[in-house]
Amino acid sequence: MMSAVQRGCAVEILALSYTYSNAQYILDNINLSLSPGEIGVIVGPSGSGKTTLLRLISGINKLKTGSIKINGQGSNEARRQNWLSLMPQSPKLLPNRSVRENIRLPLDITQKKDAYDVDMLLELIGMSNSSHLYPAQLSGGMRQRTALARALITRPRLLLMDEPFSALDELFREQLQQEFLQLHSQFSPTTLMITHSVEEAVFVADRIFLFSSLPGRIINDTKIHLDKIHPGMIRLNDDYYRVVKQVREMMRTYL
Amino acid sequence: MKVLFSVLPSLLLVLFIVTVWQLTEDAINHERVARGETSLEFFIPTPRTIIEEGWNARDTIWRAMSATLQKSFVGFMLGTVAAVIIVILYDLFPIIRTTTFPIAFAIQSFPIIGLAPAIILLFGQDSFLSFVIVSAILTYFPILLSLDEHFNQLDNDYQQIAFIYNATRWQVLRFFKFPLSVSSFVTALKLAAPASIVGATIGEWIGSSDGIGRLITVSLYQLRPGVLYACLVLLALVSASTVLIIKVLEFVVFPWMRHERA
Repeated sequence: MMSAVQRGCAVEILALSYTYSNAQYILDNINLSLSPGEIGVIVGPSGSGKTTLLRLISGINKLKTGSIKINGQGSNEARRQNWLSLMPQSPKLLPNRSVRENIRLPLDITQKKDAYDVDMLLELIGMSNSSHLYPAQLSGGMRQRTALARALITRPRLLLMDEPFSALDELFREQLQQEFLQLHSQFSPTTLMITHSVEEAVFVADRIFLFSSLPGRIINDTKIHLDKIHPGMIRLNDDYYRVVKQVREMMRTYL
Repeated sequence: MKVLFSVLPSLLLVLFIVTVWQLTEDAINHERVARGETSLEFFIPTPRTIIEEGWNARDTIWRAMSATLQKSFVGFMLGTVAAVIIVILYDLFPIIRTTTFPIAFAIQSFPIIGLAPAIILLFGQDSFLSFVIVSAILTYFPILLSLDEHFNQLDNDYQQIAFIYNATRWQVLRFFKFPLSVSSFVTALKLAAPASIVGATIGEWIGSSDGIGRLITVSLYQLRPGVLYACLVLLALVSASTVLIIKVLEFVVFPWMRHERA
């Protein structure tokens, strides 16, 4: 057994540019770094190459220009060591697997022994009593929670999240953001999340990267200094709205 | 009960058509016979004649039907298993797909009415295998096509999940592609099952000494239209029930599909 708490990875992206064909750049000179355990959130217009950036980090799209280092390793190496995990936009559960089996899926694939306990995760996402249900029997929020637990089961050191809560209605979304922060404070994987919502970004992020429209460039990199020890209190805090306003103004200026 | 209510309207419609058919033809025949002309019964039997002749020939029809069903069932299983194996090979070894998919496509695009005699020539007149193969040819293609299409279009997010955990090709098949294609696989089976019966029947029609296909030709030449129509009605009923059987089996084999379809 390895140590109970595994620190997140440091992420260092340098001078990354990307194009599918040679016609148009999707990403232009991206420089981005995250310290271990940090939550970085990318905000930007759709079609600004945000998802492509996640695909490059996971290695499914091959890097062309620039470098990605995850704890000093390339993305293929990081992936081979099972450091990465992904929570996609829609939960993408498998219809033939119960909640418990869906959460276990990464373990069935990787045969990784050093993992979190399924029962513990089920309890943390409040689904201990629904572990036997199939995805078709779940509400949208429950599916998303299951996908989150699936993304965490392998003790990832870098968690990639592509608009993970965007399919949910407002109330559920806020609840899940809060639950996510609570889970993150326990496991602290370095996280890179994409979102369209400024409120969501300010709520969960330690750092916000503002992306321009195509080709995607980072036009602003802001550290968020909000007290997030009690996630339930954040939205009751005036500072939160002040920061949301700041980011919105920035978007007005740059986009 | 729900099923009964859902088919009730079409049952009533069929009953209505059959009644109108019987009454109209009775009236016409009455006239014709009075004028000394031949009864229409020789061209279109009335429902009453179909039931009577069918009932009188029930042993013959039943023997023919069970012979046909045996061929179709074996052909259906053979076609299904072959399609699944081929698609798995396609997925694991893309070179096999590139080289043989056009051939697989070509085989099914021959009109079966032309291909069947060739197969019967090859595997023997009146040989069980001939009809099984004709039936299998009509079975495998819908299944091959639907699985192949699904396997080739695995959603980006699933691909990325599989990729991030270093899933092997086989694991991608087993954990992602198989379960995600069950729904369309079952739909393909529902198309393939009646097709397998059509295949066996066409084979028999050309070169068999038993089976429903044979009985249909025989009743045509013996001028027993009632039996011919009875065979057709039975074929339709049997084909429809294969679809029903597959519907039920789906939930037995894939219990989770119950929730997916709900």
